Amino acid sequence: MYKLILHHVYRSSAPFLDLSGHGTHAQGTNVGWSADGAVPQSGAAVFNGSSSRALVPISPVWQDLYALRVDALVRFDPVQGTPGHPVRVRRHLVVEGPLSFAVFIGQERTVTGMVMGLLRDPDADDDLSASDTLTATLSGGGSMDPFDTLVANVPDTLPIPPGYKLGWVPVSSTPEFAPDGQKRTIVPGQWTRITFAHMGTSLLLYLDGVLAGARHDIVSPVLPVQGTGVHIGCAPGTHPDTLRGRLDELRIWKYDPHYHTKKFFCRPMSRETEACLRLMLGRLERLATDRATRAQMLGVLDCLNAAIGKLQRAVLQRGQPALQEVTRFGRRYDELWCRGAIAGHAMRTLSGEFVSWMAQTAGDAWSQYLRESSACIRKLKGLDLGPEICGASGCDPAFAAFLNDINRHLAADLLSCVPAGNCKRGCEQPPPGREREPYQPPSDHREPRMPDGSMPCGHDLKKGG
Amino acid sequence: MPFTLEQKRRLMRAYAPVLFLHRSERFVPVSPAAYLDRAALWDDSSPGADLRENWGRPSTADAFPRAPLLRPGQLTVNPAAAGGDVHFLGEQVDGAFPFTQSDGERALFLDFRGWWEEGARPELGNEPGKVQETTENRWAFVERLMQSWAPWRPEDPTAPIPPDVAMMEPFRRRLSADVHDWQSLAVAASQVDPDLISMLSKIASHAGNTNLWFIFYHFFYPAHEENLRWCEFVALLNNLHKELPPASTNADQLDTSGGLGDLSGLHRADYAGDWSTVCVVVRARPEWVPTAGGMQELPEDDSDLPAPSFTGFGRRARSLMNEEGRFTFDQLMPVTEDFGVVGERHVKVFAGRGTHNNFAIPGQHPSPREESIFDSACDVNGTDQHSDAPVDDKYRKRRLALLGLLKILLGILLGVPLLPEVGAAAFGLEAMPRDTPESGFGPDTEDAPPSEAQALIIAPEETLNELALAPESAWQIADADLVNGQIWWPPTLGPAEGYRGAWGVACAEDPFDARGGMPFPDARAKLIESLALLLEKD
Repeated sequence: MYKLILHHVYRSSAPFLDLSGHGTHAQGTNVGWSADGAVPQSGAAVFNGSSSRALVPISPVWQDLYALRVDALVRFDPVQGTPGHPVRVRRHLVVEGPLSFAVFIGQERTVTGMVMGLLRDPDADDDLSASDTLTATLSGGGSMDPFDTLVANVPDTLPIPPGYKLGWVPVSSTPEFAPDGQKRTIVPGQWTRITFAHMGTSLLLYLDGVLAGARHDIVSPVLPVQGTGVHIGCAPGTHPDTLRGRLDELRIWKYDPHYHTKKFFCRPMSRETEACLRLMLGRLERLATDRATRAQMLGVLDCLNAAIGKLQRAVLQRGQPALQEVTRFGRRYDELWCRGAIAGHAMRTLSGEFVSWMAQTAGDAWSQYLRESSACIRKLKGLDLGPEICGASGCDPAFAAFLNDINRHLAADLLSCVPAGNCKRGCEQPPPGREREPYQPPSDHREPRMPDGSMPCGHDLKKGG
Repeated sequence: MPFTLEQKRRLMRAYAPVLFLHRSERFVPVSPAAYLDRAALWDDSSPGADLRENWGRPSTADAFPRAPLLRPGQLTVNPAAAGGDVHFLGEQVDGAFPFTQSDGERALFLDFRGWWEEGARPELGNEPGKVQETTENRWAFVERLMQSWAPWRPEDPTAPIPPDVAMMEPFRRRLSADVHDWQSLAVAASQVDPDLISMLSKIASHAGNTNLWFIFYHFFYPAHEENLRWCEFVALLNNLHKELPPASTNADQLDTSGGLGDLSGLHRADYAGDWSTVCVVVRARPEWVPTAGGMQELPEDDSDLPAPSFTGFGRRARSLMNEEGRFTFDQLMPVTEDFGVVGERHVKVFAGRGTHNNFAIPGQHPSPREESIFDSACDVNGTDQHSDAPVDDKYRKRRLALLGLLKILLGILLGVPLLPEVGAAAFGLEAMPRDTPESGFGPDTEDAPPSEAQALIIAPEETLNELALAPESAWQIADADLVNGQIWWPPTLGPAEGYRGAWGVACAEDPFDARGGMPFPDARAKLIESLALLLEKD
């Protein structure tokens, strides 16, 4: 889902080299360096709280971020002050991409991560469902101070939907955002791993691996970085809020738009199957880009995005255990998929567990998602899917078997099927390791139909038309 | 200038690598000057568009056939040989350099014996090697390049060498070398990217690096040969709106054109004019560092020259999509301390068969595509650029939904009960968040020679005995092989008016930029970055 675009390890003094391969090296001004970091000889950049600056110059890699993850190993060394003269600073910047994202340590030593995005106007009741409606880039440069009111510099052309406003959307390690209501702070002088992630529908903040803050009302992608580039240990503009502390490691990932395509085709398959699926995908892509069909196709895709986004949000709202569980599902699925074991016992078990878990955990959101995705498909009506799609019914027998397995679990779930131990004929699962027979349509096989009952590709699929 | 010319020539010879080529490799490095002297030069008024009607100029009143800017024999790299119809490559006309200046508006490319065409198709009346209305010009004519440049390897060693092969023999087994110390490389790097200076300083700050020498060896092969991966072929057909080959085609044998019909020529990733680079980095003694305005001091005897400490092995992958969504190539230059040498100084370099990517050890290696950070045509299914949608409205951010839709449609097409819900459930399983970036691809490999004993070897003369090689295996190194302002090197390696064009023919229907010739890829910046990263990771 993400790809690493910046990786600094601070093994030597500035310039700080990027190990990710994207050339996101940082020039440093007044940034010190220590041979010892979180462990001896690991190296660390030392920020002095006043004049230190490290800048990664702007480059195309900072555009099209969409989603983001920041991971920093930080030691915070605030000036202690005295009871009579407390030293108060607004915040200590860890990293900021102007008009895009920021991570900092606040006055109370809590940590905040935030992205520039759409905030719901509490007085409006419009619902924005398509999370990637906001695709235009902000013009101009420089960072808007997150503490200032966002009125200036916002271009008129930015499409802000009714009911929303543009602003910094934060998540903090404060009771307001903590799943358990606990405030979590950085301990001065101790190394802490801060992880901040924009996951499409949620913002998550971890301190040393513990979920310290979360929000699930995110409706806009991460905007491109503006100005001169990404600032490390300081903010751009008149209030640099320079970090007083050390960085041992900094990593930044962004959304990989081709991740899902890569993963989809990691499965071992015959050349015929691969060609068939690629041509099918190519046809869908053309429908999404050709002028005549684009609006309708993008409507379908946005509809599906919104449906899956709601489901993701519903799951993530269940907190860290739910997130860990879906992560486990996802990893098991990826492992089986890329191994090509999609029609075997392990995948059947996984599908069954996933469908049951979703029904139990997400409840109404799961059935709503199934309903909404059906409704999205109806929006395809009238679109010429072409022979690449209409002739594709037999191109992937293993995937057909996989879908048929899900079908059984879904049917069992929706039709209140009896538990597996009491399964009747047709529900038995073969013993582990037993090879699955080639896909055969189920006995209740019927002709392909769209959700509204119409046929997707005319009356004769075998002729591709 | 911290080295004298003589010192540079000496180091060029002293550190010349031992090149291990695959036994079935069809080319050896040749002289770029000799290639240029025998090539035609074309200009293309719509670079990247692959439009044949914009190549050169019409030779009749019709759009076709097209004629090059300079025909073979009309171009020379020797100013003294110019005159009449023969033009010096660096000739200046009205303040411009029409035979070397190449950019996004008007691109130059060299043509050494033209394009391959589907053989003997009388109904098309095509004429291989020309640009006519009926030719396709999809693929460089590698077989013809072989006729001119392939090394002489008769089954019977006593067979006499044919005169035309013998005539080219002085130009085979040639290399070019660009020799720098830290100071001169810093000057050169500052012209490429000023940020490289700080990286060089960082490199020099490591213990033992106060006096580094960098010897870049450039190998020019007449052609690059590479199988097109199946997924790239399908993606290409997707992009060009072409149908898959008939089921009768043996898809496992895409290296033959039989059965591909109208797709023939699209099934390869070959191109003419292939540059490959290796860089030997030497930790010289600090006391040899020149004083201000002086020269490096070299020991009198080559045997006292230090052994190489690092080697950068140049590799290149094409048909990759950059951050801006354009197909391009990626020049890689991984640096390592783990490499073999012959004698004390001659680095062993193992070249990939056909691709001429360089490795430190023999055997099979992952394709450089796997090392690149860029996505390939396969990853994007080849269609990203083929869109009439504005960039920001593209579907790239909707990829997940697109695949979800595909799964749902498969569910519908299969006619299973519950219709789209099945695919939607599969989509749901797919779409749940993962907290770590992952990827998992099958192997995509290329073959260096399986072992030293099973290689075609080109080696410095002084190592022939040790390697038990015949004199015909020696590099033919001349003083002129030192990079020294020759007109065919592009700036900043060469002069400001140096040749910037491509070294092989442009090809039609090449949306992923896989088959067209490439300009010389300057690997110096990548070497500096890779060495700095290696030291940072240590």
